[in-house]
Amino acid sequence: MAKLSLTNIWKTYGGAQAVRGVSLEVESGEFVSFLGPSGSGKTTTLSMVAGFISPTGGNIRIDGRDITNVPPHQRNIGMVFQDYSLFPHMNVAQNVAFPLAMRSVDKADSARRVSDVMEIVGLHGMGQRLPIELSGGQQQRVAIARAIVYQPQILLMDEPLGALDRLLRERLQLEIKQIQKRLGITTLYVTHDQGEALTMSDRVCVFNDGEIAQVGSPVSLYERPESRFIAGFVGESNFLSATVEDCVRCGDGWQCLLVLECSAKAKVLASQPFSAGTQLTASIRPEHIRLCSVDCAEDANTVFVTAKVNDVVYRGETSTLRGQLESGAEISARATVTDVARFTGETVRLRWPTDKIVLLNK
Amino acid sequence: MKQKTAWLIFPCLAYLLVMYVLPTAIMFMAPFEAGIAPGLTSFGQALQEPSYQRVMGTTFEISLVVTIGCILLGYPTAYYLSRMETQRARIYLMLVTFPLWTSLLVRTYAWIALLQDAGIINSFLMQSGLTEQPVKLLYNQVSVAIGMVQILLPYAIITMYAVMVGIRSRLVQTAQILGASPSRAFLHIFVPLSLPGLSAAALLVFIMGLGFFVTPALLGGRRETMIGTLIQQQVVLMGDWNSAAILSALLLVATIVLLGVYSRFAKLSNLVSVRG
Repeated sequence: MAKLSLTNIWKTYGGAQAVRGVSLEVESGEFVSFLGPSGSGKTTTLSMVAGFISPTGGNIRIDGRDITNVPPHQRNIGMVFQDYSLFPHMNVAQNVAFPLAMRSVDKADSARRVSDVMEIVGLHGMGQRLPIELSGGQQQRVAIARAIVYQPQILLMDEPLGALDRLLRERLQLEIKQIQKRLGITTLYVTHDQGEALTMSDRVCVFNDGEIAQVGSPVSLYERPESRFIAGFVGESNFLSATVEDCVRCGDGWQCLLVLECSAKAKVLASQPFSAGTQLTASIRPEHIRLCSVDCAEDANTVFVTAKVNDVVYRGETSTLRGQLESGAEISARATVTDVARFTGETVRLRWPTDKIVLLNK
Repeated sequence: MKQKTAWLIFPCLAYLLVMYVLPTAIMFMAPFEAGIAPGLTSFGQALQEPSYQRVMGTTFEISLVVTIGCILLGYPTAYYLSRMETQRARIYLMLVTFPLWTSLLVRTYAWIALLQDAGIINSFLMQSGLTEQPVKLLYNQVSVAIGMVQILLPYAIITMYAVMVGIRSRLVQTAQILGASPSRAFLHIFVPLSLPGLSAAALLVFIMGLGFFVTPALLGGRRETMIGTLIQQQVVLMGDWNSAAILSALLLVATIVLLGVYSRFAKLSNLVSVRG
């Protein structure tokens, strides 16, 4: 258990900036995931914490100790890779015991600790197998056991479930989370799967273009995205251009009257006042947009628009309607009723509550 | 094997059958035909004759020295090549194989020019005052070993490279984050994983070394007579085809025994650089 601090980390390759001024404080026992498109700098940042690459600038500290220039083997960090990275010439027990052997732990103690972690990852009695005799999921369990057996201060996981199929992935997500909680180990988890990041993390750190775009709890990222990138990357969002007409004080914040591009008006709460005429982006999640087939009574807290349905994608429990507003903007809405396919090609009325609108700078 | 293209290997198989398997079989039969003695006692004679024993001892000794030399020089080189990016490694590997494009005879004579008493190395040593008399570099085991190592080194490097290039650097990196210093990570992870390549290279060089005859004949003295040289002398100088056949058969048997021992410990496919 340890606190990890990254302060103004930079990494440049020649002229290319892979990581640009990343700062992050990870609390002891916290599970933080790095989410972002490929090439956004998340894996590079993780590799710098591991010590495989040294930063061009900035420093990394564990519990206050500067480890920026400490070689990997002296950092006391555990790591799990997407490709498992088990030693093929050693059996499972030897693999798990490797970090203990490197720390000169005596044989009896080592055997006991290996057996303990094998129990934790659910591989009891598999010690004599060779890595190639195991399934992908089992191999990753061995890798996890090997990374926690020496009680490292920090656990790094680089897309550990990326090579596994969906069902197994979901099961291991829960298991990893349980193990992490039980051991209380500070964890950095790299993934490009936003669902994974949202389900597992205490906080999610979204990377874009070498920088941290936003850090926050899964709920805050999903419900209060601070930029168009976050709103579009974490979950799906509809973006409509909006013009501020007027803002008035309302309790702690401000209430702004907006004109959306479909000429609908909406009163939205904002944390700051905007001057009249400011161009903003109104972001609405598809699941908040409803098809109003029956109950379409006018309401000051609801936005109504008309859209032409271009197609309907059936997804089991929900269906997604993709349509176009009169302004030409694309809009997608989620319907829970199953027989919405009949609306394809028709013009429908859509509505959503004004308090579900998130205002973003252009 | 149910490939429809299997017939493509028939011409090659036929060639080997006529040009290799058949003559080898005839050679094994030769002592019987001549009616001198049955095959087994002929082998026995060859093994008991002190002069043959000495030649065989020398052959094994030189092959062993050459093998050790090739591994000591080749392992670090192959390691270095296996850790560089593939594009660059390809160029370097071409340079490694470059000597193979030059005739073995030319290279052997080049060593004579370099190593002889009035050769480049001795001229340098004497002019720089390091020695008064020329150092005896030629016509001994040293010169034979030097010449053979130079010829066999590319085979050793390529065989070891083929195995090493399949060892992911990620594994060594993993060992480091788990607490192994770079040197321990190398010793515990890279070295064991490269052993199949090392043993394959060693075996290949050793077996090829056993059959050498031009290099030991030109660079060695009488004491460096190897079995290959002896066979050639039996045929060319003595016209004794029987002895030559028996010695050749012994060489073949030794090779097969070595391959057999090797296959008990490692996959034979390592020898031909097949990565599985």
